[in-house]
Amino acid sequence: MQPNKDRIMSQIEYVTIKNASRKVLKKMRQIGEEKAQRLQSIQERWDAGDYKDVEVVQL
Amino acid sequence: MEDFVRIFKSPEGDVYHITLSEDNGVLSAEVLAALGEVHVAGIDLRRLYGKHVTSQGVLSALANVIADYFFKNENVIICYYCDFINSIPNTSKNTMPPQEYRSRLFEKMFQRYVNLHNLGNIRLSVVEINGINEKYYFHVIYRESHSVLASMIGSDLKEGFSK
Repeated sequence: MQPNKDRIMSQIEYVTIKNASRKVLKKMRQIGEEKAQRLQSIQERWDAGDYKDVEVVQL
Repeated sequence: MEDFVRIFKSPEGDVYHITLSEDNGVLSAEVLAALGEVHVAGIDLRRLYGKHVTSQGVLSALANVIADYFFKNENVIICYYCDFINSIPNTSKNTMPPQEYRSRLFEKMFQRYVNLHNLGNIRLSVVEINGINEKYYFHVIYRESHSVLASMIGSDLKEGFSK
């Protein structure tokens, strides 16, 4: 099991950006806010019954 | 590329929505030009109903949807930005920020999927961006053959998409 785990971990790269500039942080926040708006819009469409044409798959 | 939308209902009655769609809005013009025929797709994942703990069955179904989209589109790189605004149900006692929780969960989903399907040529970059009071997480899933392009996307993140 360990060799398999090692192989999988070698497929993952971790990058940390420390002391990110104000510009980068502003952009990250903006992307997050836009994403939150899209997610809210999805919720509102669901609540309004807009996804009637999409099959709901029962797991 | 057309949007790829799936909705699931768990045995507990919780409803999950996932959309994969082309998303070039986060990249600089230089990187977009370098990508050529390769597209970048973003993931929007939302729990529409319910507050139960997300089961392994649901996580597997979500991983299958992402993989299905990825393998149907040979020229795609998937970017997942971990939402830091919406909280996660049942984690009130947990002090981990929601974006970090989502990042760890997404990484586990990737590990589990590539292990189960013995996929050796798929890569995941987990980019953590440290802010003053919070962290942001960005995941990039790509084929080994797209490593150079994935690195360019990573550099774009570092430089603030300003080129």
